[in-house]
Amino acid sequence: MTTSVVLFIAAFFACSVEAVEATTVVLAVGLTRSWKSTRRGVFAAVAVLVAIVAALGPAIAHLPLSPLRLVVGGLLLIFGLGWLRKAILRASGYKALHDEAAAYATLTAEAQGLNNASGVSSGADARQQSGAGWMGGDAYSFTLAFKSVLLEGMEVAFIVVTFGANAHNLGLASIAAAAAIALIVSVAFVVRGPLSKVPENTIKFSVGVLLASFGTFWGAEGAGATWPHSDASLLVLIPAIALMALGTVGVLRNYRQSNEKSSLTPVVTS
Amino acid sequence: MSGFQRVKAMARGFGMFWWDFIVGEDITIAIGVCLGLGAVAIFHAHRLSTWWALPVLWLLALFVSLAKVLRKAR
Repeated sequence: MTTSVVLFIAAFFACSVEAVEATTVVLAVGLTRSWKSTRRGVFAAVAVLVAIVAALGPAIAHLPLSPLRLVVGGLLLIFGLGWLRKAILRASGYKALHDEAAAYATLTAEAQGLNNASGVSSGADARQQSGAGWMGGDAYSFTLAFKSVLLEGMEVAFIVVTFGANAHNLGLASIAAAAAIALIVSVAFVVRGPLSKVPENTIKFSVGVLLASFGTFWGAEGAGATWPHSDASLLVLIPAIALMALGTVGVLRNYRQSNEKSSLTPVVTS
Repeated sequence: MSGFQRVKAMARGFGMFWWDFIVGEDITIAIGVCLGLGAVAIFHAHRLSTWWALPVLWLLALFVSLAKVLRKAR
């Protein structure tokens, strides 16, 4: 029961992050260029994703569990630590916060810049012009939507297959992913604007902790280790990694502030 | 661009995509994780259960990676 709840939460939050990233790009391109081509890009990416998952899914199910745990545990751990590292650096001020509004503004400006460069003055004109373009649509919107949905979708598929296969509950991981995507897409549909209200670094920090915890657990099991109290050790591993990460943020923040203070202190010469 | 050059560029792009996808900004963490998994496997071959070797080694790699950023920021 506990493992199922933890699995659902981990898969839900991990997939939410991917959905937020893909939805931001799709919204930015769709609103500024062409919804028609953006929609086509999204559908094409989903079709490719379904084909990839359908082709690889059964193959993954027939893999021996220990090597699978070793490989996916190791990959999850690398991804999770990468996210955690960035989240620690952002929270402590060593890296700029990834602002969804800024990302949206940049993408909007890029898309509008292309419109202007091609002599198109307004969104309506752009839509009109895009209708006469590539395959009856806009190649830029299609490509951006396709790439972002395919990349983030692959990460979602990876999270679902790895979390689900390792916990022997592919169904629950899929439901968690579907719930996360449905929630983010519904929110985006309702607000139809930038997803700047979602505190991205907080989500990434939490996801980093969860991925690192699951990655450590499965990776070590796949390499042959036996965890004390088996799955229950996750209940210690997750808060321990979270505390370590929060402690590191505190130490780095103090270090940065003391460095800033010492650089501001005037040098007194007698 | 010849056919061979096109294939070479595609293979390079494919490799770069997976490198960025897996390794990301800093290779230190990936090395730490691989060393940790290797250590656990070697100890297991000698009938020793060393689950702690993996978190210890990735923690070390994470701190080294963070220290690199701090050194650059100075």
